[in-house]
Amino acid sequence: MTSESSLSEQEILKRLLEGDEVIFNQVFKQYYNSMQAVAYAIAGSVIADEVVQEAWFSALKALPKFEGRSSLKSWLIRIVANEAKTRRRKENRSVSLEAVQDTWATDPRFTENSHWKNPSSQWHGDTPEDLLVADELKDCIEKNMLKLPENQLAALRLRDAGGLSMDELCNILEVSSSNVRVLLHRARDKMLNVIDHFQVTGEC
Amino acid sequence: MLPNCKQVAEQASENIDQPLTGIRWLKMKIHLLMCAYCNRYNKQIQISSNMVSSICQESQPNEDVRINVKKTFDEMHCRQDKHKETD
Repeated sequence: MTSESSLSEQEILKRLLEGDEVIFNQVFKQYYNSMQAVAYAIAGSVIADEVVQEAWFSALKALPKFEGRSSLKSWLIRIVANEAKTRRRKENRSVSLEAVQDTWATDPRFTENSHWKNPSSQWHGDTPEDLLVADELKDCIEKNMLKLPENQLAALRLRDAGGLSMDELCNILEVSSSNVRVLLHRARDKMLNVIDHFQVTGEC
Repeated sequence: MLPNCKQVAEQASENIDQPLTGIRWLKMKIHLLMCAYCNRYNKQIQISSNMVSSICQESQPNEDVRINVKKTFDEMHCRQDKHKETD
């Protein structure tokens, strides 16, 4: 028996066109996080799932014409990005970049010479698996991710959860690569602080 | 001149997405060899990124969306099958 995960993309497309339910469920699950991250980044959290759904309807309709010039993932990302941009225009929603400039310049963890004054502590593990043994930490990270400025969360989800390339992030967020780097750094640094606080105090 | 700790902290995140090369990589590497705090931060920012990734990967798709899309997927193939039968 062939494992679904070892199928070539051509075979996956063939099976999707034949109506293979197992493959459909696998593909839907595999790309959901990336598609949802794109929808969230462009159209916002409230309608992100709705946008993903509409994008899937469009993708299914266009699937017989898909020639495989790009990967299935890139194709789905393009469709969801277009759908999200259309919805954003309709709802007149704009993405703010204010949070790029936050308190990093006056970060109290550094001295005036930009050396560490309050460095992070030594953690009780070296891998995510070691650290995520505590369910409370996972809940704490999830809760604090939602407190991130919208564009930092969008960048973090697109990159670390969706696995999108830096070029894709620039296109989706419509910012320069240096701004994307800043957004990602701020977001990861805040998550590092959340984990560090939990490691030191055992509390969120 | 070597980067300071704040600059190395920024480069640590940048290095996850686009590994530093050449002289920038070398300067960062030298700083990391000399600075235990930055060395620790460099490892921890990578772990933080992996943890976010791991937590997000665990999240399940919205079930209502999956059901609606699946329904459309099934309907499309029902229509195709009917066309084949009439042919």
